[in-house]
Amino acid sequence: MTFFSKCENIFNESKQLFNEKQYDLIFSHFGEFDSKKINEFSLETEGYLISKKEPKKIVKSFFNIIIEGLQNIKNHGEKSPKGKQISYCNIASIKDSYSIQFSNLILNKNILSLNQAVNRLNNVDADGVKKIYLETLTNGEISKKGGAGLGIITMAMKSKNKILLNSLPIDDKFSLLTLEIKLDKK
Amino acid sequence: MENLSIENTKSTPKVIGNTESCSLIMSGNLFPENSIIFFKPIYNWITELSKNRDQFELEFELNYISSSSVIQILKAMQLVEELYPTEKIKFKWKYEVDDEDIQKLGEEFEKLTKSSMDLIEVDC
Repeated sequence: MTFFSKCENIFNESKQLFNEKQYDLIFSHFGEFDSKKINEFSLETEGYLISKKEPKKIVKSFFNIIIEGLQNIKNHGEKSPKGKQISYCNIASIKDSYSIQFSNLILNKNILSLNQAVNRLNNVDADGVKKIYLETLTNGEISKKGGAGLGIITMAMKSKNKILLNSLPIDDKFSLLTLEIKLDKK
Repeated sequence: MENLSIENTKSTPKVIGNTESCSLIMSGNLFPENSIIFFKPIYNWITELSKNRDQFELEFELNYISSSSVIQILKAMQLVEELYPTEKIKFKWKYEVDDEDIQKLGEEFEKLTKSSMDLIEVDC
């Protein structure tokens, strides 16, 4: 099985799992996320929520999560050995919430530090997340792409739920990493 | 020195820098592909203007803001505070009615800066 087809299988299984859980999959994309695709995808999903008459606060939180998640994929997702960005995003509507999955390639050696960063957020309450956000905003080291690790913190703030993180190995160097964010509809 | 004018796109705001009123207004969405690159001409313009002016007004009326842009907004405010006397700086932070997140972000900027800031609720 090729590197690409392994990733594609994981994507297909993720959709199947949503199906089994009877989640209503409303948006799904497998492949690259460039700036044009991020704009299209985010505005399309925003339009969907507006059409469902979701409260403005939910629409804004949702849009912010989508932007952070997709820019995170674009800016920090590793490229495959053939130089391709392999990633996906699934968005499902559940009875009382939305489930948003962002997945991208990661170097196996970087999984532990990301896990620690997510655990740090998951182990504090809303005030604790805000404290981490302000610390990072004022003291964070800014990368060439302008980020400082605020993206995941912002997603945690907007979601107000724990972030689920899962990684599935593709080969001895890469894994496909998935962040799952839940946003309550109320 | 010329005024600064940047047209808005889906992901970037309209930016108007006026040399007469010594002000810069940014309005719209702010989630550019690379926030550092987007802000570079703005920093250059603010810096250039400070050579001939001693007052500055910086106004934001933003809808969606990416996290990397939040960092650059703070940097823009800090740059203004480095270049102009604190008492001659005015920050204006506009937010839509009920947009608690943008309102709170403005309140955080107010705490992180020394200059006078007006938090203004607007009814869109």
